Amino acid sequence: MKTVIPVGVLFSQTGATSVIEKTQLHATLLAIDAANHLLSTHGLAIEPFYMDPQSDPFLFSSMSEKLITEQRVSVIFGCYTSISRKSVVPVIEKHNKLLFYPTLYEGFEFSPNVIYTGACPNQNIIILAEFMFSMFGKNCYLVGSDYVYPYESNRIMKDMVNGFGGKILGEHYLSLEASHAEFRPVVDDIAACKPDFIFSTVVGSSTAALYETYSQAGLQPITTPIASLTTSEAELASMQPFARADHFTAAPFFASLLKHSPIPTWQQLASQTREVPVNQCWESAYFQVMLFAKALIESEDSQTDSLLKVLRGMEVEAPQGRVRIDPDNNHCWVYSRIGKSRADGDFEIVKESKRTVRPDPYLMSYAISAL
Amino acid sequence: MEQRDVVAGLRQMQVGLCHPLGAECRLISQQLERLGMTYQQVWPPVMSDLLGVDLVVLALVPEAFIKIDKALLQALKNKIVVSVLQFESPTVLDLACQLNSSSLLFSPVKPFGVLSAIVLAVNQHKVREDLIKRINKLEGRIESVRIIEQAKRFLMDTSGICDADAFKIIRNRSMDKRCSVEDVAHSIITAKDALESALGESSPVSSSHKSEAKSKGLGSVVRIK
Repeated sequence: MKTVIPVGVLFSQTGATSVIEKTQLHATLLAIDAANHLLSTHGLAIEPFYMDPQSDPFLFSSMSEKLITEQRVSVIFGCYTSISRKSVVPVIEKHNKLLFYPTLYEGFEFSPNVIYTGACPNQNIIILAEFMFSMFGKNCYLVGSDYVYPYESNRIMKDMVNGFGGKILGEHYLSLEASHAEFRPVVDDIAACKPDFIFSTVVGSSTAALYETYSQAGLQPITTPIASLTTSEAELASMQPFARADHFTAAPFFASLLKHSPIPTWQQLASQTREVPVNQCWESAYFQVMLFAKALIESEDSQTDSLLKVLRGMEVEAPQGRVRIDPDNNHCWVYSRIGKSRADGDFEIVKESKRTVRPDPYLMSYAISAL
Repeated sequence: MEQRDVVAGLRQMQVGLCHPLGAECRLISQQLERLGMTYQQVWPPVMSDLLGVDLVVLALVPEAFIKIDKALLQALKNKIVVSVLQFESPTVLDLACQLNSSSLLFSPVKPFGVLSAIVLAVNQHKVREDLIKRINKLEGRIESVRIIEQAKRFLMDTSGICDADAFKIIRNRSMDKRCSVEDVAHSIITAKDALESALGESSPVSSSHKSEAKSKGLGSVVRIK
């Protein structure tokens, strides 16, 4: 006699950021499948209920409400953009349920009902900035999508550039649906300004437009590479092969870790995921289900407060390595890595932290002089 | 402790509800109605729509970042602003500070908090206005003292009289002419400047005054009324 635990899954199949969200959906369902093998020995089973919010914040809100009140889910795995998360969190808090949020974001948030498994700024921007400064120089050009995540990331990058004595040569924000034509004037300006590197916080499907326009304008990554936090294997897959190579991304995880892993579990997972552009957001979505499954086993019941008791400080072996939920802020200790992109759509890891990095969402320990 | 009615006068205020249409906008507008306040919903934030408005409730959503340029920012500084925040990120908080928001509402907005935010904002605005008035007055007084000093100095240098007598002369003239002591001091400085330019730089009057002025650190040019 199994106890069935209903869970909600909210990732978009359409819209500007669906290119990544589809991979997060894939990871969630695959992980639930794997978790159920383990949970069956404890008389438990997770039953996923999926709804497609189509990148609409209003639907994120109403669907999370529906999942909680009608399907009686105790947790939701979901959200990519910050606005979708902001739409779901009030619903989660109102009903005292849990949201597992598997996406890198701008920090400056804490909800007692959310477990954040993606990187926050101190875990990715800092290592990226230091790497680009030392390899290429400190004069930077900023280009991003038009919403809070790029504004905040650029704010930190500007701070670091200025702190290290570099210059910001330009700053542009484009819509999430920006086309090649809209990127052209920006790319032309970049060619004229000759920065040491470009910091891109362009998100979603418009990433391909940026990188392709860059390539078509004749810019060379060997002199003016693009450094990003969000360009992952999924975005590379959606790009023409000529635009992909020799740019940099900072992330806790790259698919090549899975593909070249000596660990049998991950080798098996790699063979199961050959058709999917596995990426950092995919990996967060995968290991957060593992965290939840472990919590179900260790907790006295599936109520939020009991789960939170065991989730705080919980560790699990994720594809990136051993990760841990910080008990003080519900964010995850993750690795800081830098990957150099290849034409085949994968990344070569060129730098990595020896240990996981403590999450500091409010950047309390961050000071230029401390670096 | 003396109690004031902080809610009195709210009903005379014109509120600009700068918020995109939707559930939250409806919630805030309904609460404003319960508070008996007149409002107009405006979106996106455009100055021409906010001219007659005393208090602005402004949603700091990404669209606002794009629409709020330097001109609008400057114009909004004269209004009372309550910012509605969807994110606590530094860039959003910085914009709220630039707008001199005296109080904040947090998304998702609840009816509880709307009255407090408005009352606090109105109060903070009044405190600030009073401070600015006081500063202007004090600055005016400093300027007066400086001009009178300068005029006295000139009289002392050219007539060889003491400080107290120089002031008596200025004060008596102000009573005769029924104008302020500052006005008399101004005319003396004006005359001194005219004299200096007529006589040229080599005049003993102008050079002795200048060296005195330099050693005392007094300014040289005075506003001419």
